[in-house]
This record gives sequence, structure tokens and C-alpha cells, in this order.
Amino acid sequence: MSDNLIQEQIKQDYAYGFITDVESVRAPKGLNKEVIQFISKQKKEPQWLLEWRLKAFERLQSMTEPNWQKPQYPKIDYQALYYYSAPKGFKEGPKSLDEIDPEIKKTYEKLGIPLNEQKRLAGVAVDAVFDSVSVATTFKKKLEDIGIIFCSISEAVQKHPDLVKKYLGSVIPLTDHYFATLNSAVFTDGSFVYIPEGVRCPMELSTYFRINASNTGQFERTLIIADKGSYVSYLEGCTAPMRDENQLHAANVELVALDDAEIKYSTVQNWYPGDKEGKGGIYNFVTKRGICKGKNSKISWTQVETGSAITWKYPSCILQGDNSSGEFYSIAITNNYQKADTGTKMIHLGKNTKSRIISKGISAGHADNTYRGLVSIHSKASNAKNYTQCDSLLVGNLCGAHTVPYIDNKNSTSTTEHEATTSKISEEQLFYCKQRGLNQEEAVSLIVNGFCKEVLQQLPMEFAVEAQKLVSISLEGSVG
Amino acid sequence: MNTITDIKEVSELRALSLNLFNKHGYPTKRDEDWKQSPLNNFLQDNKQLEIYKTNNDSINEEVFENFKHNKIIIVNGLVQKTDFIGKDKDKLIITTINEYYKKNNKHLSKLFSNKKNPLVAANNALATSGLYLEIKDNLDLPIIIYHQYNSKIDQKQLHQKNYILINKNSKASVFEKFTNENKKTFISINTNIDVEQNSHIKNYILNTNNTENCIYRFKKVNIAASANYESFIFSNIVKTIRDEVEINLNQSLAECYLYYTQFLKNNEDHEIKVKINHLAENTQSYQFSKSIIDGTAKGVYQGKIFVDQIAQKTNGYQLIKSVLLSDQCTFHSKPELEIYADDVKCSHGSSSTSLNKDELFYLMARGIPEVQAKRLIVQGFLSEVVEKISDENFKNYFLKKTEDMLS
Repeated sequence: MSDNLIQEQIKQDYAYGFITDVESVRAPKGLNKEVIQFISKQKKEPQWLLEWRLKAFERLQSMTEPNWQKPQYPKIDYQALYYYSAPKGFKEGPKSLDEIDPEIKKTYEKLGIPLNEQKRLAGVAVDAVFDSVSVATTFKKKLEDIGIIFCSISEAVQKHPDLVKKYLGSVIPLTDHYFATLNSAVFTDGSFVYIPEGVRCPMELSTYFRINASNTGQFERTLIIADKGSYVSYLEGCTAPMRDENQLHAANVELVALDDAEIKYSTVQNWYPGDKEGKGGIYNFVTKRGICKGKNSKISWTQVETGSAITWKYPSCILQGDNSSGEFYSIAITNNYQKADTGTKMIHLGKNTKSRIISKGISAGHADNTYRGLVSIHSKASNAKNYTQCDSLLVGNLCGAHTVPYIDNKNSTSTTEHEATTSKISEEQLFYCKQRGLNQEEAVSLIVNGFCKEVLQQLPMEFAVEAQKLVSISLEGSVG
Repeated sequence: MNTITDIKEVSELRALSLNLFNKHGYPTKRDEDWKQSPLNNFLQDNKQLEIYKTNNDSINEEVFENFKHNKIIIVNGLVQKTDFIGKDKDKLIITTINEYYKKNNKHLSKLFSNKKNPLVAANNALATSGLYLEIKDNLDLPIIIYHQYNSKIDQKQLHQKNYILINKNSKASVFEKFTNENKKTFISINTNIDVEQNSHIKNYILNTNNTENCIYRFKKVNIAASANYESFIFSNIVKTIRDEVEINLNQSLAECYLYYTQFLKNNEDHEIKVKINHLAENTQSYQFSKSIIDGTAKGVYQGKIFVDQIAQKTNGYQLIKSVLLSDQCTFHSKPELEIYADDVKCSHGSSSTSLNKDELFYLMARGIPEVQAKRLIVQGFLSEVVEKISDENFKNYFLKKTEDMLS
């Protein structure tokens, strides 16, 4: 390999690490009542929402950060963060694509997001969130025609206050835990989706998140409601510039599935993971929870976690309706000094509820990767079934892979199954690939992709290709 | 506690442990390791139990099966009688733990080690009695230890500390039997076992307790090169017991095999906690547990395999199965892996289900009444673990015990 090629390879490490030069409007630094009032005022929120935020803030004062997790991190100074940052000149929210700041548009072009409808990938409607505000939502018109609401949550507060008021905080209550409550107090923007009764959303809905400004925390809030008999598939992607300091990302995502509805939520998370020495990177402390409220409803989480310095999240399902089912498919790849503590909670409350968990963890370098999950079958959940499989792969002898499952069964007609294995890449597989002319890195990438196949298959087409590439890139430099 | 005069080293270690305990207090469900523990309620309700002072209490002559000799009778923590015949007699040293302290005051701190476990700290601080057993060679016959706890310790707390040392190239089977005739008692038994190079020890326990008391058994086992430790705990009619074991596979080719069967009914509750530390290359561990839970009983299994960065070529295996028979019973399991080495094979499996309907149908279709068919299935389910026992005599004993228990 020539020097040039090698240089290029190194540069490729984190392709999304650029900073966009946009002037921004920020809330005063720190966390206090005034800042919350400022955010609420900027967004022209109704009084009830401001009161809701302040209630969360009050509650926050008496809460402490959880400390049972595996990855330890230095204390976060919540007063040194900016809780609101919006590109300047951004007042009313975009009406059409032409109104977007060309700089931001360029950023999204670099990220490869099909903001421009002409260049779009067929069938993906995008809501893009830049720092704290939603910049554009495409395909709005087309979706509106069939009654689907897909907009930023700030817009939904204005236009559909009844729906927001009814469901906001219904899955993740105000008092849940420290980061969720923090989000409830200061959340800035995010997506809102409502699929009316009996509608099958004709395209994949998608959000792209990007943290741009420095010292900013991103606190987005997503709320998806699938009314009776509806279906929606939702994708989420994330990137951030390379910065030396750690940035906090504490989002809340709530899903509500009513009778016979199905929600499929896919995430490709590629926040900046920090450099090779573990400096900088995003703290991804996210609360994601869905409730299968109605009969026969279904929620499926798929996640590919390759970025972030620390990933700490447990997308969960509360299976309340009879015959409802929850799924969780996850790939978590950690390299260098990245740390991940991720998994799911499946709470079986209704009869004949089913859940399936497939988790694949890959650690390389000095990274630590933990699967932590809870399967809880309550005494009234007759005939509930759970299947859990979590496999870990270790690349190199400086990393760690851990599994911490909790399995509670309180019903004698229910079944839980749990399997886990930990191993390294087998020498035979490597030898086989190398004999056929692949180099070490290509061989590892191929084997890892095979290892993850079960999860990658669950991703929608457009994302699957990207995710596969991401898997290879994330492991670059980890073997040799 | 003050009736026994401690040597200086011991009293220092006791003071340290007492400080540790006072800092933490009794465990509650807020402590991760004690979340589901059946002991919590008892301990929170009975914080002020008087500490039992070691005394010469009367013994009850027991004979287990055909084993007339090679026995040790321990009454309320104090070694009261030993009976060994033949060659085995010279291959052993048996004394009380206090005698041992006096003779070996150099390396005592390892017997008092504690990693944040409040009840072990309490035991370190308060234990005044216990057994010291040293095995120096291959024993012909198994050692039977009778632990008798009588009504003298009613409404008291008893702390007992044992140390079992198996010298190089030795082999032994140790069978332990527990009898409880007391109420409102907290019994804490802390046993250190050192298995030296190329030694083999088999430790079988018949676990019964149907009285209103609370038992905590903590074992710490250190295993050296090419040595192995096999343990089987048979639990039937057990109330408020936590069996905890921490195993250190310190040198290469060390192995441990842990087998458990649980049959819980009514309002019984039993917790098993296992921690296996793979600390050297080429070590192997195997855990296999099966539980039948009925009534309003509660079973808990917490198992953790830890693999150190240098412990390459580790094999770790863990299988936990449970069958729930009633609507009110519960089973909690937490099979945990913490791995820092890459060339390892570690796996765990856990399942909990109802009785297999196909199996039941098969038997009933052949004219076997439902009650009997269920019994057969349960017996088969538990026997799978018992079959793993390597000592033929005890295997047959426990197989029979399983059968008797169900009829």
C-alpha cells in the first residue's frame, strides 16, 4: 500500500467529523429555571408544557445519576452545557427546502441524507435535526394526504396539542430516572409521528440527528403513535463532529402501539466515538421505550451501535396488550476505548405475549462491551414466551465482553429461554478466507458481517448496505 | 465473643471486619447482589439477635446410611466428637479453628478476606467456633460431617468459621448433613477451602431446613494447579437459605464442577449464588443447576463467570433450568459473564418453563395416571444433574433420595 493510500485510510476513520460553520443562537449556559423558560419561549410553547418541564426540573433536583452501569465516566458538569442551540436566522421553522441555510444543506449533503427531494433515495421521508432544532421535513405533503402526521415535535405541540398532551410522558414518565427526567425538562426538538387508524405508512420515515455546536447537549424527544391497525417503519441516524471534549446526548424516545398496530424502529448510531486514545466522543445516554398497548400489537427495535464514546441504552418493550409481541435486534461494536452497556427490557404483562432478543456484541482494542437485559414475566402473563440469544465476539486480548441478563418468571405456563456464548474469531474461518486471497482485515470484516447477519437482515434495505459498511469501518485497525 | 481469648492478629482482623460491617449494615434489596435474597426480610426484622456464646452442648449420635465411622459431629458450631478408624486416622488433622489460629498466626489474613460482603464481614468479626480439617493423603472412606444446631441457639445468631485444607496429591470426599432444631435463629457459616496441587475433593451437601430460621453459607475455594473441586448441593424442604460460593481457579489446569438440585414447595425459598474467577490459563468450570418450584416458593440463581485477561484457553459452562409447577411460585435467574480474555469458550443457558405437555401426554397415553406421570417427569428432570456426580456411592444415594422425596 502506498503512503498516500495509507494516509487516506487514516483520514477515513470518522468520515463525519467535520464542523459546519453556522452562526447559532444559544440559550445562556447552565441549567436553571430561566433556561427552561427560555427554551419554552423560543418554541412558543403553551403554558401546560412549560409547567410540565418545570415539574420535571423540580423533580430532577432530588434525583441522583444512576451508578450501577459498567462504563464509568467523569462527572458531567451540567451547568457548563448549553441546552439550546439553533442556527441563526431560524425563527419560524422551515416552510420549504429553499429556506434552509445553504451551509446546513451542504452538511446534510456530505452526510448523504436525501434532503433534496430530487436526489432522494426512493421512499424515504426525512426529518433532520441539527443541534436543537428540526431543519426540514421532506415529503410532508404526500404523507399529509393519507392522514399521517410526520413533523418536528415543536410543530406538533402547536398543531396537534391534544395528541402530544395525551401521549407525551405516557411511556417514559417524568419521574423515570435522572437522564430521562433531564430530557423532559430541557428537550429541544425531535420527531413526532402519528399514523391514523388502518393506515400502512407507504414509505420509511427517517430522522437524522447531528450535534454541531460545541459544549452542547442534545436532548431530542421522539414520540411515535401507531393507531389501531396501522404500520410504520422508522429509521434514525446520528453523527457529530470530532471534538476533544465529551458531549452529552440524552434523548427520550416513546412508542405507543394500539390494537393490531406495528412499529418498527431502526437506529444506526454513529456518533463520534472519540480518538484512538479515547479522548472526546459522545456520551450516548438514551432512554427508549415502547408500549404495546393494544391487542396483537408489535414493536420491533433494531439497532446498530458503532459510535459514541459511551453507549448506555436499553430500548424496551412493555407488552401490555394480549397477544402482543416485542423484538430487539442489536449489534454493538466497540473499538479503541469505546464502551457500550446496552440491552433491552421485555416486560410481559398481557396473555400470550411474545418477545425475542438477539444481541451481538463485538469488542476490539481496549473496548468494553456489556449486554444487560431484563425479561420479566408477570404472574398474569399466561403463555408468555421469550427467547434470548446474546453472542459476543472478542478481537484481541485487551478488550472485554460481558453479559448480565436478569430473568424473572412468575407464571408457570410461560417459557423463557436464554442462551449466550463468548468466543473469538475462529482460526479456521480466518485461514479459510485468507487462503482464498482475502487479507486479514477483509477476512475479519467478512466474518464479523456473517456473525451479525441475523440482525442486519432486520434493517430496511437502504440502511442495511450502510450498516454493513459501518461494521467494517468500525473495526478498521483493530486487527493486525 | 469475649469468652475466648484471641491472639493479637485475630483480634486486629476482627476489629477491621467489624468496621466494615458497621459501615454497610445488613444487606437490603437495594444491594445488587442481594436483590432477590430471601435473607433480607429476616435480617431486617431481627437485627438485634443475641450472639450465641460457644458452649459444650449435648450431642445427638447420628449414623448416616452405612457410614459408622470417619465422622465429625459439630454441635452449634463446636467440634464435639470425631471418630476415625484404620489408616485414615493418620492422614488427617482435626481441631477447632481457634487452635489453628494459635499455631499459625502468620497467614491468617487470607481467612479473613472480604470483598464488600457485609455478612462475611460480620462472620469474620464474630465467629468464635468452627472446624479446622487438614487432609494429608488419599482417604479410603468419605468423611461425614454432621452439623447439628439445637434449641440452645433459639433467637440467637451463630457465626461459625471453618477451614479445610487439602494437601498436595490428596483425595477425599466430604459429605455434610445439616440438622436444625431451633427457631428464630440466624446461622452464618463461612468455610474456606484450599485445594492444593493435584488434589481432588468432592463435597456433597444434603440441605434441609424446615424451621423458622435463616441460614447463610458462604464458601471460598482456592484451587491450585491440576487440582479439582466437585460440589453437589441437594436442596429439599429449605427455608430461607442462601448458598454462596466463590471459586478462584488460581493456577493452570484447575477445574471445578458445581451441581445443584432444588425442589421447593409451600413457602420455601432458596438462593444460590456462584462466582467463578478464572485467574490462570487452561482452567475449566462447569455449573449445572435444576430447580422444581411449587406452591408460593421462590428460587433464585445468580451465577457469574469472570475471566481474567491472562486466563486464555478458559472453558466456562453454565446451565440453569427450572420448571414452575404453580401459579404463585417464582424463579429469578441471573447468569452473568465478565470476560477479558479473547481465546475463551464461555457459554451460558437458562430456561424456565412449565412441565413438558408432550412428555405428560406420552406417559398418560400409556396408562400412567397423571400424578404418577408428573412425578416421573420431575424425577427424570432432577436426576440428570444427580447423574453427573462422580462418586458412585453418593450418586446412588442421591438418586434414591430424589425418588423418595417425590413419592
